Amino acid sequence: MIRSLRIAAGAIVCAVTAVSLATAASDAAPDAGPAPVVQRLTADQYRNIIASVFGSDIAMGGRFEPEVREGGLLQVGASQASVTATGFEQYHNMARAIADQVVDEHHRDVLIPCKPKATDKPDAVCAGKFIESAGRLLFRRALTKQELRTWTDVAGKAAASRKNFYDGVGFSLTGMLQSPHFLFRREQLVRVSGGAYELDAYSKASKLSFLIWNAAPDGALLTAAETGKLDDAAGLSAQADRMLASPRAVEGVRAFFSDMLHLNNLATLAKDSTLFPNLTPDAVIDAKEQVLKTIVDVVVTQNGDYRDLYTTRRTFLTPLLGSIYRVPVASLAPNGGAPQWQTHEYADGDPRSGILTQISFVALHSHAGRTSPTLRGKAVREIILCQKVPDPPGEVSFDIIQDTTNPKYRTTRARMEAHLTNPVCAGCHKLTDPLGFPLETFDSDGTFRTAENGVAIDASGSLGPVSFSNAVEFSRAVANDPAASSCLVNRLYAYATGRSVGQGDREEVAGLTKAFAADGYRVLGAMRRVATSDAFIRAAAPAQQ
Amino acid sequence: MHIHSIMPVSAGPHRAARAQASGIIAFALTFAFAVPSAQAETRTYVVSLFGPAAYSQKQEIDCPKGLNPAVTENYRQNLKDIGIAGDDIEKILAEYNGDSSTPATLDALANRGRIDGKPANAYTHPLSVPHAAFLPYEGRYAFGFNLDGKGAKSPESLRDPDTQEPGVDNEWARATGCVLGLRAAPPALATAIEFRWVTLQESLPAWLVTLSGDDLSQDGPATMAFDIALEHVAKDANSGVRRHWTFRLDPDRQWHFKVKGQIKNGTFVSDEVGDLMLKGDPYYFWKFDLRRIKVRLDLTDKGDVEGYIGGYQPWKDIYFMFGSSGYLSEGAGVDMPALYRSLTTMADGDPDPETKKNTSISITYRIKAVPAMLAPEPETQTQVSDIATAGTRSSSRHEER
Repeated sequence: MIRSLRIAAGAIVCAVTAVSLATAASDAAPDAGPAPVVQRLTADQYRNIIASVFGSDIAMGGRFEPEVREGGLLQVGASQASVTATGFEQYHNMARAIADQVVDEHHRDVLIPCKPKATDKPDAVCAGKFIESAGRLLFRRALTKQELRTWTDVAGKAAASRKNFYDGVGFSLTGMLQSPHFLFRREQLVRVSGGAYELDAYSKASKLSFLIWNAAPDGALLTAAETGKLDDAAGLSAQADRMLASPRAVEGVRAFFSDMLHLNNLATLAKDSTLFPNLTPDAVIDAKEQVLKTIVDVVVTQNGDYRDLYTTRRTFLTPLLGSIYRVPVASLAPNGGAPQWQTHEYADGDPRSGILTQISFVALHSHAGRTSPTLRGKAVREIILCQKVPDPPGEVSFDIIQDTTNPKYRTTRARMEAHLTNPVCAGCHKLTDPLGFPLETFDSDGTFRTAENGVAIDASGSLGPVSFSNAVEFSRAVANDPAASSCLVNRLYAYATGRSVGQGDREEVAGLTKAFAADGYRVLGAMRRVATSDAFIRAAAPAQQ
Repeated sequence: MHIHSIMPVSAGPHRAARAQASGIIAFALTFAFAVPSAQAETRTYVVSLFGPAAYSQKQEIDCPKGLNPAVTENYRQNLKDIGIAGDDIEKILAEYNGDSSTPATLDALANRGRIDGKPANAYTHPLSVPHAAFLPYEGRYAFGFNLDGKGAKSPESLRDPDTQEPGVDNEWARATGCVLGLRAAPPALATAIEFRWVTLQESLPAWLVTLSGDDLSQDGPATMAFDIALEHVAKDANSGVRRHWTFRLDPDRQWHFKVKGQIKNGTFVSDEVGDLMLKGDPYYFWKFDLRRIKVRLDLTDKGDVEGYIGGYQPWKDIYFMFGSSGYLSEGAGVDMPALYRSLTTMADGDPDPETKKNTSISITYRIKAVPAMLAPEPETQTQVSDIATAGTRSSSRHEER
């Protein structure tokens, strides 16, 4: 009976989805903007929604599908990601685990706003109350009457079969958490004056919330959507301001920079433990948190200049990180306790400054057993400056580079320069290596070094007309390069809209870039301008069916 | 024969006198330590390996009379001696599987001693098991130092294989050099020793070594200090001791020890003696007490230090270290009654003023340490233990008996 109920529930999910996702036929309308996007929730967004709706003590109970990076961002790739069969199985496992916890004895009294008349029977009124309130938050909009009726019926049938009201509610919730209305963010459109289209109120709320909080809209934002307060620019700005002022804005900043800096790759970072025994998985976790804390400190806490991220001498360390950076950081926790973060200010003259000299950058863009000026330089070009570097051609010999025992080429730089005698390679390496050489004073695990195989490291390089002789000067050059700030705006725009910057966006992005500079390169201000821009809410006419 | 229960005690009146003197010294050291060093370079290390040093060569050279029997052979003889029937003995031994043996088997073996015909615990009452001591080591080499300045010309004297110093005092090596579980070719430690050390690290406060001098890369005077930290060691990806970890010094100055010496050709050698005391782990040894020590440490190219520390250690502390987990030690090949007899027979230092029996045995420990960092000193006044300032010293947790 339960199996057939599950099959029925799955069919209901599909049916409800089919009804809801079907786009209504519309009259032909002028194309006023980009096509609306459908984005799969990222792992962090999924977790944040569950935490904000049901509490942070709810465990996930499954694994997430790999995310797709497109145009430099996972958020853009989310528009192209679907769900595989295996992935759906994981979503099912997570949905069941979450639902079981929501209705268990520890949580039901807090999370279910009513008590059933009897616990061994269906109670459509009480079940409906829960489904309506939870559904609104999970689907990021009010449920339709049909949806409410359908999910309440599912809860009732399951409760009758299992003679348990809470099992019934859990069954329904399991289904809702597997619904595309939960797993995907879909932009719905409305026609506005002049025949143009823009996002409907719920879609605006959702888009705003995922940008600033990396989570679903809260009740206040949904109410604002439902009462027409997002229909004009003033209302949208007011909500954006409210959300930016909230501590939850930190999550949005962290999510954006985590995406932009490819920090998801830290999860699979592995180094040769013989050579780099101190860069343990725990240390990598701390390294990711270090860069995010540094970013939040500059961009949120101080509401400072974005470019300071590359020159700041202030950072945050744990004892694990201290053992790699060679900075004394005592553990203030009891033996075996969780590490406590401590602020640290590098002294003037210290070879480190900014996030490019942190483990999260230099270790991430290195090989398992050695550094790579090319990988690091490429990362600076593509991630920080938004300048594409062509892929290497096929049939290139990397023998010289990989032979670290050659007594003729004892440093990485010497091996790279030998490799560049091949004109096929030189063209691209000229773009990357001069930006990677200054970071050669940081080994593959991030430890500082002055020599390699007994030979002093030459850390000179150049970025366009600007030359530098060490990592600090290099970081300053990156900070001062106009491409760094324009790239930030470019990325933020793409992140917010869920699509790569196209021809139609160039004018808008140029304006945002100018405003960014005029505003002192403040990221929160840039976020606000993007969130309240026309591009954020306009869309092309829906496709004919 | 009166069987004494073995409790790790300190020698009586002699100990009290030493304790008083040590208390005064510890009190003075508090202020000595608080004064900033005038020396230009200081390097701190955390001990990554510590255990009795073994220098084992071919068995024919070290142990011409053969290695000491395997523990199961000792069990067979012991059980026969107390009248257990042959078939029952073989049944017990068939079920014996080290520390994975059944409780009944372990019980039978642990209580194989007899006092007035009644079962006695072989670890707390080792003399209740009639057994010979270990066959002694007869090799000519052992790591260590001539601690008492005597015996260099004796044909029986041991010689350090690295320095070739004659007259080495290392009766531990003589006592145990033919026990398979305690043999090892350098630089390895014996399996039984290394296992114990790796286990200890999890609960031991980190032991710190600090070298100070004008320029530690050059020959010249230097000072070595031992301290303990408030933290345990941290481990790296290979389960080795994590390098460059930060430690806070335990402010209790009874664990602080300093000795002067010289650096020559990259090796620190102490040129004064002193008594080293480091807090241990309650399960194996709550304190490490090594007296009149001499030190030799190489400063390696990798930035580590490694070498040897020799001195006199209360034999009861050593026995407790093994005996506190008697069946585990025996599982590693160290027969406890035999160890007890060897330690008491070959102890060569600190005679008890009343019984005249030696209470300590000369021993050499191998030490390795990797670079570490010290957290900056807190601004609050360093706390000194009441024991140190009172001028008396409770040097053992256990009451004298």
